[in-house]
Amino acid sequence: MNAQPMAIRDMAMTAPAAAEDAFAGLVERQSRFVYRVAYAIVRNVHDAEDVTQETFLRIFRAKAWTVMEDERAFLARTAWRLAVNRLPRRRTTEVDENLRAAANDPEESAIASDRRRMVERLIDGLPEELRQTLALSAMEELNSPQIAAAMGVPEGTVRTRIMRARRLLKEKLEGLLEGGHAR
Amino acid sequence: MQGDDLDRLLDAALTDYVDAPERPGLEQRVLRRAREGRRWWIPVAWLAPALAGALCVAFLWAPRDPGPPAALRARIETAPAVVRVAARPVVRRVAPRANRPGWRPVFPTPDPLSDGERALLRFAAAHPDQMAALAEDMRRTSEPVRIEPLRIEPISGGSE
Repeated sequence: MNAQPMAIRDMAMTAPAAAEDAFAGLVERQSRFVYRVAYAIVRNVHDAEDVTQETFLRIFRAKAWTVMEDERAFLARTAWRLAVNRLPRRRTTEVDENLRAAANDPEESAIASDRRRMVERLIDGLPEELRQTLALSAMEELNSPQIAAAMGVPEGTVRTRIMRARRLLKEKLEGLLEGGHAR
Repeated sequence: MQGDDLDRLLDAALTDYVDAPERPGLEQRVLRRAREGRRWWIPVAWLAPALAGALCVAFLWAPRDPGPPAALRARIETAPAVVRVAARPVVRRVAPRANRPGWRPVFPTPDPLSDGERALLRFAAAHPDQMAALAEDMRRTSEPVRIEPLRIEPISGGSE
C-alpha cells in the first residue's frame, strides 16, 4: 500500500505532468470507492457524485495525493466529512419517524414484501452515528481501523457501534417479523 | 426466524444498502472538474496583480484637478500678482533715540507746528505789544503766590 504513494510523491516532485498522471491514476483507482463511501452516507447518487468530485478536487488543489500514506483511509475520511456535511440536519428526526412507522405498520412493510427494503428503512432509522458506522462496515473495502480513521474515533468505538446497530436492527426485525407472522 | 437467519438477512440488506448504482464516466467527470478547477484560478492569479498594477498606474497618471477654463486661466496669468500675507503684529526694532548719531537733547521736540501754534506765531508777529503783555501775564501767573502772614490786631476795649 505504501509503495505506490511513495512513487506518486517522487513523480510529483519531478514533473507536473507526471504528477498529473499520478493524480489521474489515483482517480482511476479510487473514484468508485470514494463514490461508494459517499453513497453509503448520503444515499443519493447525485449527492454521492458531487461528494466524489469535491473530494478529488480538494485533494488535487492541496496536492494531497503526494503525501497520502493510506490512500483509502485518507480518501474515506475526506469523503465521509464532505458527505456528512451534506446530510440534512433533520434527517435523524425524520428517519426515527420512519422507523416508528415501519414498526407500527408491519402490514405496510409486508405489502412491500421486500424484507431487504424493510431492513434498509430500519437502517435509515438508526441514530446517525450507528448508521454511518454500520454502512461503512458493510463496505468490504474498509476494515475497522480504516473506518475508525475515517470517522476520527477509536477502533473500539467502531466495533461497539457496529454491535449496537446490529442488535437494534435484530430487535426491530424480530418484532416486525413476529407481528407479520402473527397475522 | 432464527438468529442466523436474521444475521444473513441483515448482511444481505447491508450489502444492498451500500451498493451504489453505477455512474458511467465518473472518473472522466472527476478529472475534468479537477482540471477546470485548476484553470479557474490560474487566470485569476495572473489577472489580480495585473489589475492591481493597472489601478496604481491609473491613479498616478490621473489629473487630480482639471483647473479653470482656458479664458479664465489667461486672465489669471495676466492679472497682477497679489500676495496675501497673513497679518501679524509688526514689531519695529528701533534703536533708542539717545543712541542715534548726531542726536542732541532739545526741548520741546522740534516737531512740525500745529495749526494753533502757527496761528499764535502770526498773532505775535502782528501784535508784539499784546504778545509781550500776555507773556508778562503768563510769567506772573507762574510765580508762586505769596501770602502775607495774617495779623490780627487786638481789640482795644475802651469801655472797660
